[in-house]
Amino acid sequence: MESDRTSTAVSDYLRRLDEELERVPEPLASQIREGVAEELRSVSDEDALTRIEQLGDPAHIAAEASSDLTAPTPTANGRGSSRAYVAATVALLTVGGLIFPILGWIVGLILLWSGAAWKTYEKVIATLSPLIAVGLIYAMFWLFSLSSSGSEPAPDNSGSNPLLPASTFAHWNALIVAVVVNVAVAAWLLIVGLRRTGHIEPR
Amino acid sequence: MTAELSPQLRKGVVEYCVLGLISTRPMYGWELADQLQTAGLISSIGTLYPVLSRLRERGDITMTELQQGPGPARKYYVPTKTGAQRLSTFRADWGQLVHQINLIVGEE
Repeated sequence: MESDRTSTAVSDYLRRLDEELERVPEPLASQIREGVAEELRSVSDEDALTRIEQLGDPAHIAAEASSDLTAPTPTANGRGSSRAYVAATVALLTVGGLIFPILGWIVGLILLWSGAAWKTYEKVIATLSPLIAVGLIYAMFWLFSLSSSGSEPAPDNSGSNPLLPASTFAHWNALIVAVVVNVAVAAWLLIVGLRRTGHIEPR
Repeated sequence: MTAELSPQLRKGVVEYCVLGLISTRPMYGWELADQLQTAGLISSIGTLYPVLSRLRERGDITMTELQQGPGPARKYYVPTKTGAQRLSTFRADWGQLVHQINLIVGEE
């Protein structure tokens, strides 16, 4: 009987907590809910009821979580953490290489690695992603050329553009992929950078 | 701590207190909340999880699920190398800060 009563009390409490946590963003709401449920289901019936008393009103828990999110949080500071710095770095990484071939991209990388708005792993990802993407494209074309060199060409030349040599086709593909990956990485860096420097609200 | 000053002070140090607690042994959410509430650093478990979330995003702590005794597995928090370094730096800075503040405001 005691167990049934406790189980109902726990379920009721978790349901009320779920309702209150609806105004708390994910994944924070789920983390709080899981943390509370984990505790209530790990202890004895008697302790579970005591825990519910200790936890208090679910509305208070949700309010505390929300107020912490709206409070100012520590942000990146120091050299290379201003909005202008973040924007300039992202601009150079995306279009710098088109305006000043190679040099613009290298300057963008120098700014990226000197900036305080990004973590080391983010800098590594941003630096290597375009290179890896281009490398993969050339590797694919190389493998394709290896596999097709031993076979007879298709009678209707299907699968290749007769107006372009294969190497030119590979270069164009690599360029397009590099631009697309660069833009995607730059957008990610912009969001992360502005969020970390406090210019946009964290999720 | 006065009511006016304490929220700011608490917010500033609570992340380091979490790192300090889990530097001795892995701890789960309730344990952390209980100790921090007893110390008057947080007012409810609702304040703890945003702190844990920030520490995880920053790469200062990681979470691992462990089954200990009956009941479901619990999520335990442990400091990463970065978190341990951050705590070490804070310990040195905090000592100096307290010393300097005491020199200025004096001790009772």
